[in-house]
Amino acid sequence: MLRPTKILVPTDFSEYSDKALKQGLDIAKQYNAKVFLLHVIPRDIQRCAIDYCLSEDQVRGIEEQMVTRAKTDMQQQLDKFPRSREVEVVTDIKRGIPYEAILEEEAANGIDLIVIASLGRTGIARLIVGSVARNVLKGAKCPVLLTK
Amino acid sequence: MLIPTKILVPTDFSEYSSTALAQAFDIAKEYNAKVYVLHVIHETLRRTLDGYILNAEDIKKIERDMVKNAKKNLQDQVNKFPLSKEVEVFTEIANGNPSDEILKAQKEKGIDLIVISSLGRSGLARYLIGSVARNVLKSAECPVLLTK
Repeated sequence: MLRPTKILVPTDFSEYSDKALKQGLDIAKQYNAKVFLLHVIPRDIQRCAIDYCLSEDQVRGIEEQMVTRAKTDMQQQLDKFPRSREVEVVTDIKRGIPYEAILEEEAANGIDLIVIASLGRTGIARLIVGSVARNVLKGAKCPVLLTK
Repeated sequence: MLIPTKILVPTDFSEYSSTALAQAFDIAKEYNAKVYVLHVIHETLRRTLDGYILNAEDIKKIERDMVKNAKKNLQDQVNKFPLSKEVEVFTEIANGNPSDEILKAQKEKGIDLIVISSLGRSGLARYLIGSVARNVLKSAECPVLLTK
């Protein structure tokens, strides 16, 4: 990192990711860096339940809705922070396995700092949030700032 | 974190911790923050001494030497960085369980950012470094920057 120029902030639109985004924006302002805000839509939608399955068209429809929804959520999250207008922000929505997509984004964009919300506050949150953060921490080639 | 004012950098004198130290000094310079460099002498060293040496005086002498050595190593490591002369630096040696002592220092000094080197590069290093960094990440009450 030393001086960050491209900061990646993964978001799941939770309050925890709000904190990470705020932190990322503040650092970007200080260092005149770019912020890459990334949301990853999990790849696997459960298509079948017992003996009922969704058709290909239905699945595609749902996936498109998810992307539209994610775009709206992302803009809403950014709008919470006036600072988002003072720094350069690049938004991206990907589909896949969250930690993998995050690490791919790191490599593809020459990211030099990842700001991600921390390991859990409650028991279950520790498992769910923790697995993404943990894998990013392990696999990232650049420094990772874990916000609390 | 938002604006760091007191940065804690734990060090085991390894090259990885030098990377963390370099990063911490850079951030401190940028934000005009103080840097606390902490080395923890592992408590099991003391327990090993208790097992082999019967004389309490001898144990005390060896402990004093360990602290003296640690202080010297700490100062030597800090001196490698010219930036260390441009920011306010406090060095400290503690005795005990590394993660516990780091977390204790964080609370006692009102640390708002911990900079620590990451989970391992090699199999064994992953296990040894990982356990301290992992515990700090889990339990720290402030953001943690994991360097690579």
